[in-house]
Amino acid sequence: MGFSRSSAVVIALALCDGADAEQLRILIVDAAHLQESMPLYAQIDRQAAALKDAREHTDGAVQLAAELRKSEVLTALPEIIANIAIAAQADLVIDRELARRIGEGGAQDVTSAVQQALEEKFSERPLEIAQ
Amino acid sequence: MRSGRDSRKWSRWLSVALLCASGAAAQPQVLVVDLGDAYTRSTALAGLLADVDRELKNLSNRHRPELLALRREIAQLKKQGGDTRDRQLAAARRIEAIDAAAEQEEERLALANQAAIAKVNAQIAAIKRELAAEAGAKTVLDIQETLYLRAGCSCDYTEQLYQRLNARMPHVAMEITRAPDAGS
Repeated sequence: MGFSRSSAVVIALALCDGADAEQLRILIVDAAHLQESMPLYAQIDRQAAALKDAREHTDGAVQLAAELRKSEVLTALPEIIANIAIAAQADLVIDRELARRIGEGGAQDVTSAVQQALEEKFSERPLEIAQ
Repeated sequence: MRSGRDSRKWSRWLSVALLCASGAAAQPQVLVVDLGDAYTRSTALAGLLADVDRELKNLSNRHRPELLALRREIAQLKKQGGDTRDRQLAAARRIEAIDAAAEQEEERLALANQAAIAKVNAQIAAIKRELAAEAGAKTVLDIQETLYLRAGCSCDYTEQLYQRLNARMPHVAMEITRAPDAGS
């Protein structure tokens, strides 16, 4: 047979590469940041503060609108994460802290992509005050 | 013509390659299980749910006739007038005693239920450890811990977990400790 040792090494490396491609593609996000502290929430608060200053609506109505908007953001979060995961052909998305605990902390972090998608969807949208 | 030694060399390399390929492809580093439907997919937990329901009905049926009779008796005694006060109090005390006994029985039932659930959970934990070891995975996550799981992911071991759980623990018994004088 015409196989040399170097041919066998090449085949071995090629198969190993292929095998790696079969492994799980894991993405990570900073869930706490996306759920609690990303700038979009502060932006919603600023919108609310401006509306309160304008005194066209009651403070309660403005506060309710801000809370509803934050709730909308949280509701949209899983879908945004799923869209990004599908686009990246990922198998699994987990929280960054969990990933660190299970030794997957080096996985690709898509927090900023998720944050950007949420900002694109919500940052320009005015608060909807119930009449 | 290659010598036998050369042939053994490259076949060893190929073996390494094949091991590498088969190992990595078949062994996701993280497994995920979905225990959200455990009370329908685990025969033990589904049976336990039915057992608890039956015990609660039995408990209610056991005390109901006497409670109804005592309430009727109190109503009749009230109609009869003041000299029945002691008998009304006795009937009311008996109702309280039955209620207290029923409450204790419910507590014992709740404890037995928790103990049975703990047995199933222990079995689930053992199966998760086995699955992880067999797949060479670092860990088994509950789907609740994930933010996204691709449908059909090779890391989803939910089926394997329920197959083993139902084979190993098709039923879990509740061991209720009954008080000898409960409600009597």
